[in-house]
Amino acid sequence: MGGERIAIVGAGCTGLRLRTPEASFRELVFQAAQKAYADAGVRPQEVSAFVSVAENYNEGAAIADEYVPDQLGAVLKPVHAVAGDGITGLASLVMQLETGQLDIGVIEGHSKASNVLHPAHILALALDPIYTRPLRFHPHYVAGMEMRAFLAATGNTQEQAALAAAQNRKNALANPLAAYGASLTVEQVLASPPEAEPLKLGDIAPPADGAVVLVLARESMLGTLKGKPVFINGIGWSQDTPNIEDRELHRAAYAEQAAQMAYRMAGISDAASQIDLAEVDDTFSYKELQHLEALGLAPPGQAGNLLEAGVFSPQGRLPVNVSGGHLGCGYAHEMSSLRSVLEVVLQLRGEAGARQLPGARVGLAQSWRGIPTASGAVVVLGRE
Amino acid sequence: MLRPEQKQDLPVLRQVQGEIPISHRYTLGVAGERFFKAMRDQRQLLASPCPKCRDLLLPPKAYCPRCFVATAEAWSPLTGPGFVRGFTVVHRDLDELPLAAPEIVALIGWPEVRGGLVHRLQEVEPQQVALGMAVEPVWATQRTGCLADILHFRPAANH
Repeated sequence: MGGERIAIVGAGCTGLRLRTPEASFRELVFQAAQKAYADAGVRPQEVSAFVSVAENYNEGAAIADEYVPDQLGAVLKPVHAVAGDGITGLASLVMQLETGQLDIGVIEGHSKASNVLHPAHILALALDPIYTRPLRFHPHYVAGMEMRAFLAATGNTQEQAALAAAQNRKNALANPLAAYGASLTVEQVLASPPEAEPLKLGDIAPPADGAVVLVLARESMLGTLKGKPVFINGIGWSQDTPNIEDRELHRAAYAEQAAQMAYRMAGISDAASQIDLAEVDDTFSYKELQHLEALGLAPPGQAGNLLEAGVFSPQGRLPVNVSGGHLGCGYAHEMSSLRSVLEVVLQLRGEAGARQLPGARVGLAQSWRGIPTASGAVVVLGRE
Repeated sequence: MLRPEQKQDLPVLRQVQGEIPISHRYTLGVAGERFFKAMRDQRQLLASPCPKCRDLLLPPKAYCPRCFVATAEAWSPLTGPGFVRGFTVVHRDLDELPLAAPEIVALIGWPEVRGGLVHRLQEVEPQQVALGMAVEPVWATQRTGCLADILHFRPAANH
């Protein structure tokens, strides 16, 4: 990175749940913030930059970022709302701290997915209003078309995608933060109802509620903070065209670009051998395989084979989504990828409990903004 | 905290319900207007050429997003059938309810264009659809200059 190094020095999470009818989203964020501030050993008064990631329609409100300050202790502080996924928001916070003008930064992401009563209608509003939305199809069709194109172009199989879903649901059983831990077989995933063929219900990360707050600081501040630092060694983001018809359906070009940017910054030349664990977007099962190849963590066409060979299992050479991923933890809107970052932080700090990986030094977290987008980000984190 | 026996007697006080009424106009733009006018009046699909990379853009745009230059004035009508670049079979509607009959959604390309059109594919069974399959539009009798001027695509005759 260019100037002073930036570290994550505190993390807090409510845990993910199917429903949280007793707590408002503000209360969820407050809980996560309390944990994160205690973890870092900071008071919100000492924080000089706040970032929030959220989409208005999912919040059910206009200018929803105006609701950010209170529950973070950020009233009359610099708050920056980022319309993007969690890691894209993280990149914004890193840049703010890199200016040297701000010392300690906080990012929050939350989900009240259980309050979104018509999620497909909202997702459909993201489709082009002139050329695609008038067809009134459930927007999962975009994922269905992509999945077919990806499998056809790379030779990965529907069974291997189903295995990614089964493995992540299983991994989640060891994660107390996860909402959807389950012992599922590949056959059970394949036998789930078709949604947008070849995509099945079991291939789709189910929604969950929760909140994540992370505290960041410049390296020169570390002496004054008690939190165990995890360094942001590289971060990158990229956005493809919004026009579905203008993209290569089988490819996650945005993830390739974001990874190259992050790897360049982190000095990673051979990701597959230099990364010890990865939290990769698996909003849909095939996306995990597609993203692994885009990130250079699997050779083209080999993600499914390596998955079957156990390379990406918690005991494998490169554990992937040991947290359970979004399939196992739950899809939590923009918070989802901050939860991925949280997992890497816990693993690198040696605080991942029953799912702790031995000797992890460098970890990667990757985000995708979800259908119908082709946007995403990558962060490389290190113990030093 | 409420004791369990209390909960049954009390109305739920946990949430209020809200609605967001949103209607909007979406401007077709210079390129969109010309595209839909040709669909309405000539039953033609037009693509706009980039003077730099020579690609034909569909849907047509007033600029080439890759070369960042204005497209040329002379647009080309697409001749011949399109082909299936991608497809899926959807089983639910926007309210998450099962569709009475699953529908085929296809991304349709043409050999000479960059881009394509997303539309429904009918007059064919899902099992018979394959990537690369030749398809043609079925035009509405009453056309108003919008995507629905094409009712659906179907397998092309003589292909």
